[in-house]
Amino acid sequence: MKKPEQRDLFPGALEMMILRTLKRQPLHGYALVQHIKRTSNDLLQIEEGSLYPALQRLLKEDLVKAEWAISATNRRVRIYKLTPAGAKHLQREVSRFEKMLEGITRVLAPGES
Amino acid sequence: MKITSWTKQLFSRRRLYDDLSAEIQQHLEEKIEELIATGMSRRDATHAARRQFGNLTLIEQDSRSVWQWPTLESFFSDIRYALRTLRKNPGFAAVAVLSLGLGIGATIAIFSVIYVMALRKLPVERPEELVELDRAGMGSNGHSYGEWKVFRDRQDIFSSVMAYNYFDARFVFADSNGQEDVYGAYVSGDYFSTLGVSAVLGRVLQSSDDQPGARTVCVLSHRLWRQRYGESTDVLGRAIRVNGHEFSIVGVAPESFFGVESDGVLEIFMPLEAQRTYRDYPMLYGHRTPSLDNPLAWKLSFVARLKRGVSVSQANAGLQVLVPEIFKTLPPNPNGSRGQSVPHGSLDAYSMANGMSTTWLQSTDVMLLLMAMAAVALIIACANLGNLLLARAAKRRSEIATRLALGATRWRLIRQLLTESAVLSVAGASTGLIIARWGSQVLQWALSYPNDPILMDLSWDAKLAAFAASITLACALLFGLAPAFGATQISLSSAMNNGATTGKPGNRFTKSGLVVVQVALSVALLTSAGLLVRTLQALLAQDPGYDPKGVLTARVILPGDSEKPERDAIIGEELLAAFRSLPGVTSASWGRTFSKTALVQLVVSGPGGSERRTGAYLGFSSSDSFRTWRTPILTGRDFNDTDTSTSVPVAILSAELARVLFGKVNPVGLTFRENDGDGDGRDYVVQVVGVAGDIQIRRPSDAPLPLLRRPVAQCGGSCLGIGNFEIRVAGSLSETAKRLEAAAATVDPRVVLKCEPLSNMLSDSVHRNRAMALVATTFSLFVGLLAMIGVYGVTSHAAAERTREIGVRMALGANQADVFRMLVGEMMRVVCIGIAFGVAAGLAATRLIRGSIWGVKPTDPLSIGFAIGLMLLIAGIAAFLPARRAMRVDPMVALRYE
Repeated sequence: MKKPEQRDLFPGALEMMILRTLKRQPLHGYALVQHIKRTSNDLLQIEEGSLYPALQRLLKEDLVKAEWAISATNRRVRIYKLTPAGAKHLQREVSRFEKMLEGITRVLAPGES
Repeated sequence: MKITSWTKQLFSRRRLYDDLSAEIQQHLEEKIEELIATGMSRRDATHAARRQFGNLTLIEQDSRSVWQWPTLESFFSDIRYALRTLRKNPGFAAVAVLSLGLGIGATIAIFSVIYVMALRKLPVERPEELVELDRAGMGSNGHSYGEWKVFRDRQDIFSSVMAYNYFDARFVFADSNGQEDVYGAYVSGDYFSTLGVSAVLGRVLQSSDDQPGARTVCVLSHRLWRQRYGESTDVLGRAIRVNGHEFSIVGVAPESFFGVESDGVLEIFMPLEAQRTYRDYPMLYGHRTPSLDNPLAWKLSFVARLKRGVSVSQANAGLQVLVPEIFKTLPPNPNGSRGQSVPHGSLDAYSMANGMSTTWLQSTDVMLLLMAMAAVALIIACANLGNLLLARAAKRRSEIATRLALGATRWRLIRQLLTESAVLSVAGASTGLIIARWGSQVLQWALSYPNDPILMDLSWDAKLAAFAASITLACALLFGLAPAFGATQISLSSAMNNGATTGKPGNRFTKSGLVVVQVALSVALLTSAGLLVRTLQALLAQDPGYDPKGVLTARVILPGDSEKPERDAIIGEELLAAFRSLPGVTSASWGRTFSKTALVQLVVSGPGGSERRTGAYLGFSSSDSFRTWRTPILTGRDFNDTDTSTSVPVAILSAELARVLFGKVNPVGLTFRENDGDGDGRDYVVQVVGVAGDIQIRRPSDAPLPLLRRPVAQCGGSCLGIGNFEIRVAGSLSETAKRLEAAAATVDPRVVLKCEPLSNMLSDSVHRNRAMALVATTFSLFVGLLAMIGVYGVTSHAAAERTREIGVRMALGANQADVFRMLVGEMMRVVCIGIAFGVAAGLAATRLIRGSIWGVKPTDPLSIGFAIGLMLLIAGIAAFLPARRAMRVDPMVALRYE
């Protein structure tokens, strides 16, 4: 059953991380998860599976595209790529996120007010 | 999103799903291999991979739902699932669909008839401006033609007024393709313009059509146009015959327009003045006044359109002042049959936006009572179904618990259970619609008087459809909600551990209450139905004073010829001779049946100048009529060839009339004076030649009526415009009827002949009683069926809940019979309480139908006993089945769940 604390940090965060990762290089699902976990130093406790609904949403919005290919380990995998629309979306989301973060940081910063 | 990609998604969804599953599978395999590489066993690695991945089903479902129109798709799969479950339980499905169908069907049938009679707006322009004008304080809406003309010409209260003949509405419509009975009306020239109805083909009637001597034209209903002429446009100008008179078609009315009476369907509209041209009414005793000008022929209804901004009460205030002034210019009404002159009076206006319906006025109480009963029955049907579904849901507890544990959301399950109820409702509603269609016809028939059947335009419109849809939805919610929420409120661990649980006692009390109500209602209805059936039996067992078996009646419409009224009588004699010579005809007579509305005044002079007056029902007959009817002539003789138009006026009295007029004296040879009451003041001295046995001409329950028979030959030619033949037949009635028609055609091809068995007259006379008995019996059996379902549901629920208790009892030495007695006994105690209430309610209910009971006591033990017996039988069967299943419980199986 769903437990609320296992959800994303905030809505859209997972999608943003996926897009950012894919901007660097096209990846298949498993590699994508491992990459996000690794780069976050395992600080983000995400369920591996939760990636897939997010990927489907991105596919549907045409922000990423996917095709079957053979991986380095000789597996048939589905490789996800960022589309131009995805790149634009990422840019917008990141700048929005930074603004939000700035706001939150200011509020949380001690002593200034 | 672009439409193209959206449609592409819709069609490639299957592939998308397959991709997704394959991808997730790959993901897991890769993870497992990686974990094995770190030194885990395959088994541990698989578990770990699954754990880290999360809820596989849920994630796949979530991923898919991105692509879906989720509610719709799961809705379809829910429907498929529901249909599958129902197919597995055909008994349950049949009971559910049937009881719902009957409940919904009865409710819609009754509502649709009420809607058509009283709630539907007339399909005319601004119907809320229309008012009907009644004769003030007379409880009658009839007016004479003279009153109409002065009122039309001198009123200035309404923007427009019209009149139509509401009284004579049945016509024989004939053209080259054959003939049929239709309803129609003579209407004033401003009929259509007042209503704001225009023709869909040709033109409507105009004032110029309604002038003395105008060409006789008519407008057809859309339906008649379609049925007889296939909506062909060349009907315009076509000549047709109405009651033998020629009319030419000038137009067709709109599709939904059938006149202003909501309980009638008018198919043909003719100008009022056409009656003068054709002298369409039979006249008695040689009165040659066209009935249009008879000041006592109150056959017209007035309808008016209010001026803009004028209210009904303002119009009424105006009428009170104006109308007496206008009517003062008319000559006073002559004396009526009761001997006093009736004033013209004034007019009252009533709103008639929804049309007029005498049937509704006469049956409002009954219809509302029926509506209430149907609604109660429907609610009970829903409660029963809810109960059955709850009992089933109890059996499905572990299924539901398992699905909850596997990650299904509660809302998802509720939606699924609700879909099951909705599927049942829709199936029930479809059945209900068929039943409703049939039921509304039956109701229409039951509300009709024989010989004057009510014909309503029962076609559906958007409002009726909306009513049906909301009833269906309300049912689904009513019986679906409780089980859906109840069944999904499960504590997972307890549900998965025990199959059987014990019910809450409070719950059981409510259910017993439900059974008591249903049983009581059934018993009360069954008692009433029994009384009505017994009344019908008693009525039919009455000797009507004649023997209708093997007798045909033939209603003859002679094309009345105002130039030569004598011709009618000659044709009548020719027809009689032709009929008598046919093979298979043992005797035949003709005449005019007793007028059931108008009495003639008879006066007997006693000794010393005293007078005894009485009213009698007058009929005319030829010779042999008593032999044909097998009514005995008690004393004296039958009419014969010596009774002619020039011989002494003679009469045969019924025994009752002889008693009233002459007491115990044998009246043969005595005389009385007769006055036809229509106002010319002439008396006829009539000699009695015979006394015949009493016969029933109305209802068998009536006291014998005073009947006066005169010979056909003495009724003065034109009185027989519409005559009747009675033919006693040896052999097949239908074949003889064909021969009669052929014989009539050889006498005069214009003659219209309508044959039916005389026994119809007897059965028509008890029509109301039969209709009430039928409706009450059907309804009470339906409610009885509901009670059966109710008892069955409650008993099987109780048995299921108490499986463990039964197991314990049996383990402690109770045998099967004890268990059976326990379950059935408990239920029958509840049923008996219901029966007791039902008998009391039934006795109270007989007050409501007292007017319809005859020849049987309201406390008739047979009816009450039958109701109780039937109820016990129904309840017994319903309790027996689940109890038998329960007593076969293997104690070991029952206890293993502990």
